[in-house]
Amino acid sequence: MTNEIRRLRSEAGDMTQADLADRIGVTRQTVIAIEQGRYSPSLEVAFKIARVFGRSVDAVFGYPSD
Amino acid sequence: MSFQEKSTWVMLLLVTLVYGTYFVVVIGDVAAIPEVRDIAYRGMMLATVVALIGLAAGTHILLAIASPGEADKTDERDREINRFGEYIGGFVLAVGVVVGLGLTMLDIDHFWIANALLAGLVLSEVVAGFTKVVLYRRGL
Repeated sequence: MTNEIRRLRSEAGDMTQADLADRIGVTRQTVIAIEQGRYSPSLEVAFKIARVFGRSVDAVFGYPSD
Repeated sequence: MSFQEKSTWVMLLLVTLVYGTYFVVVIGDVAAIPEVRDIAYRGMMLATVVALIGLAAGTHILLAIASPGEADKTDERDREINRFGEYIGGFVLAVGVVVGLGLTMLDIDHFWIANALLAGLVLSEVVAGFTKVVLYRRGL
């Protein structure tokens, strides 16, 4: 899974990973892992992230086609 | 590292060191004392368990003091990694139990049965801890 979180954070007034983590209820290390593609968040957390940036889940996360 | 990852490292190191020491001492005893029935392993085993609990509690308090904001925070990634690590460790534990059952059926001295069961438990914790550490670093 790919994601645009780093770009979206920067566009949202340079939101820090820690700030995003606090808003969605995960640790900062988990946000780092998600951004680096080392962890696929649950559907619930994916929705929470999308909501923070006012986007749809599809706009934040990408799943490669076969 | 998240608090839970630090905790996983600490427990992996403690289990390896503390139980490693126990087994080195016990193996030394087996070499020195021909009759295993005479080896006073019970006191040593209990002392080892108590020592591990004490050290685990102490180190976790220190970890919490070092990062008060992060202390005890657990999220879904921590839970998933923990779940998978424990799942893998469970297989090792099952093997340990089967070995213990086998030794019991063969009427082997309870010194060997007790230590085989403990070894199974320790190995399962080491395997579980190692699995979790790899998952934290490489990804789930």
